[in-house]
Amino acid sequence: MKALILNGSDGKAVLNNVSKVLALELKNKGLNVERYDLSTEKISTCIGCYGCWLKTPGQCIINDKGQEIAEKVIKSDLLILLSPVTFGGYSFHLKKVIDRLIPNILPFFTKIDGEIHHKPRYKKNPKILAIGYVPQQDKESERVFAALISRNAINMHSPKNHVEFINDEEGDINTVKVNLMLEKVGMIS
Amino acid sequence: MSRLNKALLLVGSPKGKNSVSNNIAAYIQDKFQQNDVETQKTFIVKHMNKESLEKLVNEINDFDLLILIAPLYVDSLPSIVIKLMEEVYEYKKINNTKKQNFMAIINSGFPEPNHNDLAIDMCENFASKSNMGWIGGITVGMGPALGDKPLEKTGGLSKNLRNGLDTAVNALSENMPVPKEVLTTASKPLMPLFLSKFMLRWFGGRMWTNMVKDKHVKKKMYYRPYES
Repeated sequence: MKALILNGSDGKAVLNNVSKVLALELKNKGLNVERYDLSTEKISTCIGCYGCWLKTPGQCIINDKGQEIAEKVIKSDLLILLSPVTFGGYSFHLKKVIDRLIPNILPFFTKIDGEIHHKPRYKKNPKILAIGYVPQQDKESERVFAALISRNAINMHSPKNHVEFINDEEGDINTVKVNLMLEKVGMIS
Repeated sequence: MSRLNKALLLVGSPKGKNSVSNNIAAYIQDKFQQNDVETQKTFIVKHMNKESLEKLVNEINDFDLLILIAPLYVDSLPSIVIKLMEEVYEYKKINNTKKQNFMAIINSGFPEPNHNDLAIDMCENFASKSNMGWIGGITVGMGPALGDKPLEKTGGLSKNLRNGLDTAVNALSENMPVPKEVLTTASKPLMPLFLSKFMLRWFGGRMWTNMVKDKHVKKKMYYRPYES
């Protein structure tokens, strides 16, 4: 089984530490883990050209790490998103990559719970575990972030998703907490 | 009460000029100019290099009202908009800037306007954290139905949106609050939801297929390049 960790932190020690602890714990459980520290990667923003639907179906026309990550996402069983909660959403570094995952869905439409969404391109899509960093408790930002992950999980056709928040007061993440998160996202029983 | 001095329209579409966001922004700019409000429009996508972004962030401070007009990208704001917001927030944290107001108009291709709700929430969150007054948000569904015509030429489809924007611009020009019902009017679906959902679900596919010029690509639209 494969896990992919996308770290959208801009040098925040807390999230970098979470990334390392998660990777180690997942490897201990026998998963193949890959990590990207997105602030260090040269990845273009989506240019909204629809090339991934109309010219090179399923693949972004921009040949950079964004394309590579889109492939790794769909080949993963678990997608872990790490980000400072930025106005209730993802950081710029992470959102750049999220936007570049559009090739992994189809342009065509379907109805999910009465609402129109894009159809999945693939039969299998990864579970999503999102960990948002908020320096101090911020209920409104956490509400929006949690809702965002739920909406993204629908549009990415993810079978299961879970959101956690960490702050400076909680300090370092530990193995117990990591295992709890993995349990909640259905990666361990 | 003094009138609005200067407004800046921030077009957040990565497509720049050829976007529904720009059509809406152009309409708003025209209305403000009819009210003798100095209005500038800028495309965020053109400021993504470090120097240009820094210049824009500095210049934003000159304006009393900022209006973001942007598309929905994966349930939230395009990354270029988030980048600008991050920079503006950091700038305002360390510089003594004047009180500004912020408003957002988010459009998407989905029929249900509520797809855009979280993007609006993020805009409000940004305004609050950056110590800006929050005017409110307008959400536009079925944006591509407006095509590339100027908004005033889209007839009945954009009637509610235009009526709402007209009233909002008039209020903002006089530095008056924009009533919630005005934002609600502007956010009404362009057509009855049952109709737009039906059309998109059953004919939306053909719309995409017709956009593909190459017949070889047409056959591969369901292609799975990353399938193991």
